[in-house]
Amino acid sequence: MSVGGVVLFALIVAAHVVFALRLRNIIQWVHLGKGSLPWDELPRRMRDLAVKGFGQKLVIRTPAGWFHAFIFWGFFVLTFGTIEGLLKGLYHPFSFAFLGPVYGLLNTFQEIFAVIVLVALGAALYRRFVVRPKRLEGPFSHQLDAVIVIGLIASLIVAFFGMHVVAPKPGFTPVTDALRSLILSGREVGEEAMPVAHAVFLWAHNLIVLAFLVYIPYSKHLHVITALPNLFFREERTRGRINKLNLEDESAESFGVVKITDYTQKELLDLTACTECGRCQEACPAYNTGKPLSPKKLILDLKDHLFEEGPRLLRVEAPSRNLFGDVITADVLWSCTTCFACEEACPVEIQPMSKLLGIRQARVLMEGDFPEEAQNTLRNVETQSNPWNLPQEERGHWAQELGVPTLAENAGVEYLFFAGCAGAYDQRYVRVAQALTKLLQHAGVSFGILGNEECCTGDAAKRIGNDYLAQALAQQNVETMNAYGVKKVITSCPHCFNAIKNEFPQYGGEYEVIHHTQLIADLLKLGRIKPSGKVSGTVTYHDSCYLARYNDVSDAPREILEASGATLTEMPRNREHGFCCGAGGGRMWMEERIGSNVNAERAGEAIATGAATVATACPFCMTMMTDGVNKHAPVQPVQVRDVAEILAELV
Amino acid sequence: MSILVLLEQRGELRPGAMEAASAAHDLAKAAGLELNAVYIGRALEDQAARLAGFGIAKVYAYENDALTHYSNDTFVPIVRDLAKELGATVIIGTASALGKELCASVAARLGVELAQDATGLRWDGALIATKPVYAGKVVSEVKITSIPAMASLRPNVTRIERDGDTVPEVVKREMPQVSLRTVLKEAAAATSGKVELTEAKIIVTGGRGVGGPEHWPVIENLAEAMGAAVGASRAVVDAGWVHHAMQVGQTGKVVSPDIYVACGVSGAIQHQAGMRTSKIIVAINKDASANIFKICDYGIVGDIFEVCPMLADEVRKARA
Repeated sequence: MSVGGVVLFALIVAAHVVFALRLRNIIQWVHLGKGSLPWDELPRRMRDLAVKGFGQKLVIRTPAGWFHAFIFWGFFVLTFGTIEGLLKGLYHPFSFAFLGPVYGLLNTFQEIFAVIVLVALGAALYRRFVVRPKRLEGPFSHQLDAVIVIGLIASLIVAFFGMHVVAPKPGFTPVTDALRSLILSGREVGEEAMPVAHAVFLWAHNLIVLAFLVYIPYSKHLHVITALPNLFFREERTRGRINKLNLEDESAESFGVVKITDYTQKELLDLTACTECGRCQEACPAYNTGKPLSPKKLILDLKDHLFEEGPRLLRVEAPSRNLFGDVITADVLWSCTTCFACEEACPVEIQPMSKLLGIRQARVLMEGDFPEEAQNTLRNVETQSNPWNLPQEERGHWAQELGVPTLAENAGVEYLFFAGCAGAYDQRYVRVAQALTKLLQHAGVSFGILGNEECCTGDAAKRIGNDYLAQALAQQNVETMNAYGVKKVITSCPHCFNAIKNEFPQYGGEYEVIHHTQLIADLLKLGRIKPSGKVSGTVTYHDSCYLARYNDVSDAPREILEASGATLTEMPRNREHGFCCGAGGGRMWMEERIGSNVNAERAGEAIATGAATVATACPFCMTMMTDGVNKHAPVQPVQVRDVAEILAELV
Repeated sequence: MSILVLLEQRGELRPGAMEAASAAHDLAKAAGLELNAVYIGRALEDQAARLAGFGIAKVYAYENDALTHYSNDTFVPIVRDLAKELGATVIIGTASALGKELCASVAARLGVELAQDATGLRWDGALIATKPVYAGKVVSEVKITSIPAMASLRPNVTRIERDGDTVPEVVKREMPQVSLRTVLKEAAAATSGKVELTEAKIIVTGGRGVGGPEHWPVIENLAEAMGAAVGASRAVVDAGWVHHAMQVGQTGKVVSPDIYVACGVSGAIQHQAGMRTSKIIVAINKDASANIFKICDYGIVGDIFEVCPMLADEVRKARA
């Protein structure tokens, strides 16, 4: 081994030590979380790793993601050259030439990917500094970080080309060849012919590789190491389910997330996997209306907090800053509408929304601290099991004179129609429940209601963080429904739909749950509902997050609108990429004091389609969109109606 | 052996003070006890006349400008010491936000029982307080056995009844030396007109139908004519026409006045949640299908810009 080889060896060891020490720290900090990283379900995890990791499935959902994918794939192809370069640095005669024809092929691949990666890096710089999408905005340190990383990769490729220009390698390498004839036309080339130039490029290459190794775990490019494990350790979960807390655990010192170590290890791993791509932020209704919440910033703040307190926590000392108050403020915490857009958007399955819910649970269950306006709602739900404090015994009044039996009168019906608080009490939404009843009766569907035995499903309470109240309500409903032997449930409220479908199974309530739009669409297909005539005018459909994003229900309402003869025109953000109305996560029951109004923003988007009617399939969306439309024009040019109402007119 | 009434003030005596005095008067008669009152605040002056007819023997007045605003540090020792000095057997306060705090603190210092937020009081060998529980589904009667027995009375539920016009004797007391750990310099409250919304007997509310902040005087004019407090729907508050303190509804104030006049309010359930327990609901709206008409006692389908001024004029004539 030459002197250079010895020096390089020392540098390689040093770089790996630095890298390993930092990585060890990060792993220790992640292990401060609760539980352990799961190794079960290996086939599924490997599949996730292959499809979402190596396949970049979630990354390439946006056009810019393709640039990332090519840099990512290029990274693996170029690793081959990286290894060769390091080994050559240690022992000069080394080369992979012994691989024979494969070597030529590998060189060709490297050549192709080196070009592609360079182009992609250029595109990344162009996007970040010329196009400047809002989601890539960030403090100077973030921008510097990006430039350093892009610069390191680009210089690595330049050094790579340098080596190959100076010393040709077998294989089809047109770009290297062209560069060589351009720069070194006619000169003799090769490692022996140009030893200094080759050594410079080789050293540059190797030093950049080592610099990158040291830099990675200190930068946002930590995701190079953590993103794939994060996909691997992802827990399979039912979308829309917030797991019930074990409130009867007498050994529990706290409920929810009081301090950073109350998150699970997987949740802490989440924090390390963020690359600041900002797709979550771009989709977030709170951020887009001027609230202090950005899911990206949330994750980064939590990450910084973990890394800052990590050493102290390992020494079993108290953290210097409080998670709530110092790191995550009340305004951030309560701005979330639980629309799920951030978790849907994240290419590496980070879960910002769920992080906030944990803190909400701690605030409500441990401190009784939540926006004071929501107090009315929680108290009303607790005492009368509806948010408006209307008498429980009037819950079935909406169906009087409609000939709908209660299950107490006839438990032999096929479906339970779970009207929900809005369907039962809100005169505006009672009209929807009545329109739906008309359609079901027209189609000869056998169904009944619970009447005054029904109570709130606890969706809002759950998402405000009052798990105790939500559990009590779910339990009560499940007991009632099971007592009647309910098998199939129709809901007109997507929040009831989500709670009964995804959360009630945790309480022993297993039902076939169907939203009214799904049932109506089925009945139309079966020919059991035959619209007579057509509605006129254009309609735009506003997707409820709890239908489209959480539960994949976005075709059914559109099919109904088409069947009604309406001309459907879409808003730019639709289906699973729809924009929240602003009411989810208990926001319906709070004031919106910061920034602009989410519902006004969404209503503006709806009005801009020129549609005469905004169709909804959710009582919250209906209230928010109605108010939102009103905010744009005091005289109401746009109507907000439920899809069921639109169709019922034709029956 | 006497009853002591805590007279609540905010610069002036509050209606709650008279309600408490009236209820205590009934108790005093039933129990055959002497009735005294304590007043803490700026100079009482001719306000003593408002306490006529309640059979109050003496009003112990701790008058000082520094006592204008409630302070737990100062008020609690005064009441505690006076109660001991007089040997009070019953103490009645008002269940306003501050009154509840005062009563709870005094009860704790004296180590006695307190029926907070009672809706009625009677005497049957001991103080018996009526208290709604389970959100009003059940009414319970609580017998207070400690001496003194304490209760705070929910505002707006007791009728003020006077018997004669004897003005009580005012006994001026010195403000005791206490260390004011906190000094309230100014109470910056956004109030809706002169009357506190939750205590108002009459409320006139404007909704989106008002059209814009420039038309808001239509609502204020009617409210002034009726001696009412002014409320607003969420739409109006969201639009920034008026302050949130005036919002009636699910996320605002929950009110139940004797008369509630909703002008240009569509009556979305969010609004109803804040006012549907009003005794008489009057709705004025040009949209006959508005939900507010489903819960009103009197409905006027018409333009608020025609109806409200007309109504205001008629009310003024009738009251003149």
